[in-house]
Amino acid sequence: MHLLNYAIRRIGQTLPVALLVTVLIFMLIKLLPGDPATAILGERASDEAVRDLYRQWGLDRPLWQQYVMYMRNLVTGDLGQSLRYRTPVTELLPRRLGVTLFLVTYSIALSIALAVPLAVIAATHRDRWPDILVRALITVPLASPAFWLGILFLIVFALKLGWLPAAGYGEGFTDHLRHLFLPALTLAQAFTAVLTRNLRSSLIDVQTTTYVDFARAKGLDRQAVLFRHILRAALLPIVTLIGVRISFAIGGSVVIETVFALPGLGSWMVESILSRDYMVVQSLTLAFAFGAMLINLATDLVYPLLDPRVRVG
Amino acid sequence: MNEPILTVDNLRVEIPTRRGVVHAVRGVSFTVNRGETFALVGESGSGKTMTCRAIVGLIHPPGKIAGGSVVFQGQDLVRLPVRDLERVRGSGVVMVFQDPMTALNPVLTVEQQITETLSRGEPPLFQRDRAIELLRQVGIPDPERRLGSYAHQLSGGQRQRVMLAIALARQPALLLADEPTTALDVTIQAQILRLMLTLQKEFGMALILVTHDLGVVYQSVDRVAVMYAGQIVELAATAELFARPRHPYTIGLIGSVPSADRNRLLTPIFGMPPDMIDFGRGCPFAPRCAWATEECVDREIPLAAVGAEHWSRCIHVDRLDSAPPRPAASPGGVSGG
Amino acid sequence: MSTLVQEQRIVADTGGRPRLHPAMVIGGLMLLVIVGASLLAPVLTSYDPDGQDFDQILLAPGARHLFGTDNFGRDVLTRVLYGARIDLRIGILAVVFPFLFGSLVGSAAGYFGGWVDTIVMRTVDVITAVPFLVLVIAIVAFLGPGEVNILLAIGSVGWVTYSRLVRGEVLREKNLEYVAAARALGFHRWRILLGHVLPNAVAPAIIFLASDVVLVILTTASLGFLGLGVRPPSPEWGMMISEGREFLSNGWWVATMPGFACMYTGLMFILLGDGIADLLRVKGQ
Repeated sequence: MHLLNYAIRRIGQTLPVALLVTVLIFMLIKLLPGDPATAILGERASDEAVRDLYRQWGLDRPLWQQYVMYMRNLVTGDLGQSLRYRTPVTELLPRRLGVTLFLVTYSIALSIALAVPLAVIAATHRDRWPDILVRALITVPLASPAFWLGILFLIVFALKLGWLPAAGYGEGFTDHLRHLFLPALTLAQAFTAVLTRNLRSSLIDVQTTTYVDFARAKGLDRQAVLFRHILRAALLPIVTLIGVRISFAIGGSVVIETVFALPGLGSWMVESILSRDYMVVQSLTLAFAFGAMLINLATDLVYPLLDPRVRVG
Repeated sequence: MNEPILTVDNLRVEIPTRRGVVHAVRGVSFTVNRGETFALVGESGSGKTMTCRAIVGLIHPPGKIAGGSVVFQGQDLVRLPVRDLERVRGSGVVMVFQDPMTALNPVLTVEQQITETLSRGEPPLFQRDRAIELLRQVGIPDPERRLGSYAHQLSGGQRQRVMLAIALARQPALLLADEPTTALDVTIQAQILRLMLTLQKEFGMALILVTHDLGVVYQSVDRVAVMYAGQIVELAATAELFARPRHPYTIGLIGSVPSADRNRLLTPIFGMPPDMIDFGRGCPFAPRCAWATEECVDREIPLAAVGAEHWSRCIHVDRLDSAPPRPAASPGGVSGG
Repeated sequence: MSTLVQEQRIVADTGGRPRLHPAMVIGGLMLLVIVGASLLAPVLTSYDPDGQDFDQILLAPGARHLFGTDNFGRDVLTRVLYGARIDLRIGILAVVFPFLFGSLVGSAAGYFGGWVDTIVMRTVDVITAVPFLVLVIAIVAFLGPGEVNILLAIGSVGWVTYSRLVRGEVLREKNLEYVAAARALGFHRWRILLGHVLPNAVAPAIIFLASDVVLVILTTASLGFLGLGVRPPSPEWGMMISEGREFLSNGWWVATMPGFACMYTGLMFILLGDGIADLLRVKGQ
């Protein structure tokens, strides 16, 4: 019962923020210098097109009314038209969303797969050379632009060695896995660095706790102690960290998709900006925001399932 | 009854720190017999916890056992490879810790923590029954329901009982209990202590009790080793120790226990424990000792027999019955080094 | 219970006085090198960052062109050094104002509480809800490219972390005794806030400054890479990397060298940040 209350409360907290986010994003269009219609439709737009736009968005009405119209559109699933493709955003969205979701999930999986062994090595050889090496290694992705690292990977693995494709999404699941490996790896680096650092700390702390001592004192062998006690406690923060860092992963995906020419939401957003497809930009910003909030909410709800201490209140 | 199961010989534990090497345990030797209740008494920092940790091999790096031997059931635990030591732990010797809240894993249930030590050969249902039985033995009411509890859902006393249940799951021959009652409410302390002694008799275990509470020692313990600054300064049967304490530190400890005799003033021991890195020469207690002389800091003082099964590390044992040369209530004494 | 004289703790001794952290020293040196090199660029290299020379296109790194040349024949090293001015300038400016504004706002929110706190924190929540880079890109998309717009975009989003950090510290500080004492002495609330609480609460914000600079520089480079940043032909690093994408197979240095500069700068600020954090922590004790 407590869990349900908690879930309801958390969702309740998110809703007002979600609403305010729509306000924020709605206001973005107002940043356009000059006349919004001309900015969106271009200098050579016909008078009729301009008038249509004015009517559709209520550009001649007071601001709050414009917002209401915007919200009405949103709620009915109308995210606007892509000027470039002359199709509703909602038609183009799913496929693009799929690519981005694949990329982000893939990269989180890679991060965990890399960070756990690195953290274990670092923690079990604390302050000796493996630890120092790991810690130095993870500083690199934190200091460097992700897209540049992606380009380096491209040069080495795709161009020089030819092991992996340099761009595109491919067809079919396994082909996707191949095509998305380098992008996902690139995107994974920052999170891997943060995760490794955090897990290492966590492992060191857990290693010297009394319950690990007791586990050993009662006769459990090293393996059992490591997996049942140490890792279990130390890995808990992963879920929370995902919630915290997902924002950066999403932002990073925008750039990575451009580097590797992946047909995802991020590259779509960049294309739209460059082709002045402002409606799409606005809608995609909203999509990204809601996506981030959803994932955050999900991790908050999942965590108590894993840590019994949190369930009480 | 006088069959030794544990013989500690000249055990030394060192912990390197930035300031220097801390000599936490300096040449400790004692024997514990089968089924016996043995106490290690001393203040914080005296080395009693470290001694226990050394016995089960749980000293955290960079600390390490620097010398000596710990012979348990014929094997020297210090020289045993880790795999073999892991086999001895749990079935031969077990240690329970001071604070049961931190000694139990917060994300595992009681049942999981009991059954994970049981042999893998037993089917899970048997293991569950064993767990219930153990919980009943340690006095936990309604054990079936308690199996699914987590540490934070139990009271302090219950956690301590659970810890005992886990420790006794494989019926070890020796139990090391590090201040088992210190973290508990006064009212629970007596219960837990009684429980431990009962279980000890039931299982025929030897018990090493680490404590700074002389009251507990007096009531329940067969033999006592008093530790100070990493050494045993006096070792005797309980009755003998309280009747004829043969070391100024022991005398001080006994004197500082509140007694029913309201007319007797509490006499504290003045001064501070020594620096564990740099002891100086001779008896480490000398700076706080009312009987100390130049001789005390001149040379290292060995543990010597001062009676039947009674050893002391004091060279002035014969003078201890009379009043000290300095009033006990004044600070001072002789320092060495 | 026997009366025990004081507990003896075996504690690792840190040695007393705060030493100059090696990270600080190395970071400081790195900073001197890059600032010096970028300022002295006209002296250090005789090449013009915009000077196109079609005889010299896409030369590999060598004696005359340490970082090679790009597809217009421009010396890459020169462009990297001039680019340092841009990226460093934006890096510093885009954190200073958010730091000041965010700290002030955050401390007011924490100290006064009530509706001030609610408004500030709701705003912070909303801005945080949108992924940082996405929001910055969106703002730049609508405002248009250019250095000023980049500063505006990053600045209007970046202040929120500072305000959260400072608010947290202020909430903690305001319950400490010295605040009550100051109130009792009749000090005006703003004076207490600005003169007493804020200086004590600002430490985590200062520590965050260093990693924020890294974030901002990487964001600027990202914007440049996407074509949304500083206008060409400015030798901003991100843009250089983007331009270099065309010839990865025959001119990899064009895209990679500016990236090394980014990494250098990033590491530098991380080291400085570690040093500052250490310094503040020791003092705080």
